[in-house]
Amino acid sequence: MNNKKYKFLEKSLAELTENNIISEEQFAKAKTYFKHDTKEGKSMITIFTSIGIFLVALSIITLFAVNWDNIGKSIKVMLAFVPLLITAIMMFFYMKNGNEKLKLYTSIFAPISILATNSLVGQIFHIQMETYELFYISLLSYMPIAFTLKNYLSLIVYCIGTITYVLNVPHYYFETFANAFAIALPIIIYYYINYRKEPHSKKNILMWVTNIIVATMMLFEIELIRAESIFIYGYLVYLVTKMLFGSKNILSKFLKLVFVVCMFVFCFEDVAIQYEFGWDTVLITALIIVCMCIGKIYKETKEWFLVAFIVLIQYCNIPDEILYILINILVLALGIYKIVSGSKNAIYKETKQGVATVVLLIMFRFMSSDLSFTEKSVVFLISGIAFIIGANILKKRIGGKNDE
Amino acid sequence: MMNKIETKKLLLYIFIVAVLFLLPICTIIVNTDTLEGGNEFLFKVEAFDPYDMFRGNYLDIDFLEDSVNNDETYDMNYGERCYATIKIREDGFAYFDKLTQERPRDTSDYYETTARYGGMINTPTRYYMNENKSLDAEKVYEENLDNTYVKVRVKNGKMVIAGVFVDGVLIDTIEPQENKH
Repeated sequence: MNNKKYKFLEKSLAELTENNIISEEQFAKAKTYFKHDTKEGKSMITIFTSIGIFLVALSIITLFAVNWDNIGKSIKVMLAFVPLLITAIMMFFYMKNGNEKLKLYTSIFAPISILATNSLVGQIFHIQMETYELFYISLLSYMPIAFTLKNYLSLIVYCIGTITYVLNVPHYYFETFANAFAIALPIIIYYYINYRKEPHSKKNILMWVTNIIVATMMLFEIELIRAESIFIYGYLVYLVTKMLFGSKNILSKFLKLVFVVCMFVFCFEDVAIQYEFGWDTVLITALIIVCMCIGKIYKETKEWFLVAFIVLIQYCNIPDEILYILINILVLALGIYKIVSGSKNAIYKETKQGVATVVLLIMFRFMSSDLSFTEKSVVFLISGIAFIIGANILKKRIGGKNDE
Repeated sequence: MMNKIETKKLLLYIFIVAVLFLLPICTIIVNTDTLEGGNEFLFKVEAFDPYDMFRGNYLDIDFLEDSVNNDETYDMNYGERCYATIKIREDGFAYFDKLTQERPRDTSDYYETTARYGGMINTPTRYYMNENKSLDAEKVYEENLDNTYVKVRVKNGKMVIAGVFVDGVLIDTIEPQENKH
């Protein structure tokens, strides 16, 4: 129960007590029974701690990067394997004790450590590997961990990695698209077996996975047809799905996530590319407007951020260097809107999404800045410690509320 | 029963760790073996300095001789695996002699790659450097257009970059003339 609902309940119970419908004792018991749910507060603590740990880890990595030239090759190789060793230790303790928090931290740390080790080894030995190939081999290494952890976060990370791989592949290498499905197929089979055990479970991971694969396939196929219209076609499909099946449908949710991820990707300077305007885009735009009217989706403020993104990419004849700045501003505005809207309506989930959006944007901007590794490392460390301290403060505040 | 579960868990853990470490270790073994045991060749290159999001700045090197000059060039499809035999000219620099679909048996000096169009092949393109030096390296190349080359080691079709050089000196260690003035 969130804060808003609890306050409404408290007010209602007080009214019933005043009118002698329930006694004072019953009022107190009911209040205790429906006590303020601190679940959302606790999840904020987890998020803050996770971000803090991530930033501290990033800081350590960049500190080594600063002194990289002065280190001998064999020591470089040993250091390159440290992240994997930490992951192996975390997996050992998780498999031994089954601790849920460790499961969460491993979900976050494992993909970063795999990517870090593969990147470092590639750098030390001048391995000829494009970014999408790096993603591919990292995903292969992460697959058994994703299966073992079996939580939403590892699945989402795995699927986002797969999509990033697909979207980075040069479109004429069709065989690599088949590779993406080869990675995804074991997950579908594995989670299908779990789905058969609990077909009515709310956590229908098979639905997630199937929809993610379908969405990826759809986006990739669209790219093969008309690379310029990938977003506008994809957005139309998203709107139609939302109209027909509602916003809570897994496919709608996931397609939206894909667009949000694309928005983040376009925040990088060397990615923002102007697509060519074509008459089919006019037709599709008209269809989008029709869908928004029929489905009354125009009332949802959040949707307009996506529309603005698509308009910027498709229609505005803006120089690339300005385009990417505008996209960054758009993503920042989206994050701030979610924080404000979530806080106002006491919808913590939205506030969390807003915080995550702003934090990710700051990190991406920072990582692609001209600051040296040393400066980046120091900022990561200070930010990471600040998040961990923030988490502890939040924990004490929630603990204090519970004591009341 | 509990022992069976524990054994399964242990086997699963061993499998996870094996997969985690297997890919990077195999990469290192193959590369080290090639660097230490492979034959050395020098290829003339041109170079510029782009950026990789995960691996930092690097020198993008473009082999000047990345096409096959021989008339016996096999008609390859784009992306098809092929083998390019390597020979050395009188000036000491190497070139790709001919392309075949089968692994050559009469020589160990060949490079396993994929074909592009018109007899051209894909060659190694990345040389990772300190981020502060990569831009200087590009400037050094621009000041020494004819004297920049890459030293590679080749063994069993694998080609590993040993270094990018200008007049025998590693490019990482040279300061551009522009910076000296």
